[in-house]
This record gives sequence, structure tokens and C-alpha cells, in this order.
Amino acid sequence: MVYNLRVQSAPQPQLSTEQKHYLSLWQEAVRLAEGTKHDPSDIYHALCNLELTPEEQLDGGFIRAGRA
Amino acid sequence: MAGSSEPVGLSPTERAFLRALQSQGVPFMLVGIAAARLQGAPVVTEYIDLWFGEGSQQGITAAAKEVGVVYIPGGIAMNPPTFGGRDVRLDQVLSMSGLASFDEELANTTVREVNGIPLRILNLDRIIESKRAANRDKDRAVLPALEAALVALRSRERTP
Repeated sequence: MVYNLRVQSAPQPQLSTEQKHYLSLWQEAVRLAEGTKHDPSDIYHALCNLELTPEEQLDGGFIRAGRA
Repeated sequence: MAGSSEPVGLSPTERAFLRALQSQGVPFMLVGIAAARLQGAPVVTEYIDLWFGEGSQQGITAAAKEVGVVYIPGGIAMNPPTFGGRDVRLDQVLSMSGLASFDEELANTTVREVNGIPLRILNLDRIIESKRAANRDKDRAVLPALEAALVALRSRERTP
């Protein structure tokens, strides 16, 4: 997967607080992945997961969600 | 998460069983993908892997009986110890590749509360170590996501 990681000069639309938050997570993921073999997307989703409660983390990790 | 329903986490039977294990004094920790998931890893599984300390067999059997979890001890039909039941997604891990003993690895765990139950979770770097050592196709497949999650986790530990 190839990402457009650094589009700094593009006009910024008006973003909601939530959009800004997740955009900042994505930018953090890109920064963390820089110079490594890691996929920014994997780091981004891990950063998102770290904001969840343990129960939400487990729910998201089960293939057969809703079985319980 | 916006728009999602109330999180479930552990099933009622799983909660009762884990509490019963603790009442019985059975030492255990969560390992594998569910434990990695509880540390942010973007991975999926069907089971919660439990690693028990030496000599836990009797306590596991008693806890299972107490809460009605189906538990088949190992060796009856050349089977490994096995859990069963409609809302039981538990698996007993007999050994962890590439790691030290259960007692030694206890130092490499973190306690997290899930559904009000404090649980010992094997740290992500040790889970990665065990996956590298096991080196099966399914272990290799999940390593990139686990390693990326460790980067994210360490970043959060530096700047919470």
C-alpha cells in the first residue's frame, strides 16, 4: 500500500474537532513509521485502539463479534 | 467510539470463570492475540489464550465446575486441555515458545481491568518474542501489525 504521506501545501478544509483529532493520530503514525519498516496504517489503528476501553478493545478483536 | 453499541468485552461466563480462577488462587495470565489486542494491536482472533502456572490443573477444574464452564483436561483422548461452551472463547496455552518460565514471565506482565476484573496481561514485547520464536505461518503473518502496535504503545508510554 502506498500512502500520500506528506501533502503539506494542500488547502485545509474546515475540520471538526473529531476530524482534527484523528488526523493528528494519522500524522503521528506517519512520523513514527518514518525510517522504519512499519506500515503507518498499522500504527494509526494501534493508536486509535489505545484510546478504547479494554472492553472495546476486546470486542474489536473478535472475529465472531456478538457471539457472547 | 461514536455510534457504537455498549461494549461487551468478556462474556458473562468468561467473567465468572476468571473470577472463580482468582478465588481458587490459580495463577494465570492472558497471552497471545487477545492480550496483544488489549495493548492496542490491530489484530483479530477467536480465542482468549490463558497461560497457567504449574500445578493449576485442580484449580482450573474446580473453577470450571463452579461456574458451569465445560473443561476437558488434557490427555483423555490425546487432546490438549480444552474449554467449551457457547459463550466461552478460552484456550489453555501449555507453553510459550521463546519465553522463560511462567513464574519468570510474571515480571513481564501488566494488570489491566477488563469488565471490572483485574487481569494479568503478558506485555506486548514478550508476545512478539513468542510469535517470532514459534515462527509458524500464522505467527509470521501477524508480526508486522504487532510490531507496529509496539511502536504506538511505546509512543503513548512516553507521552500519555
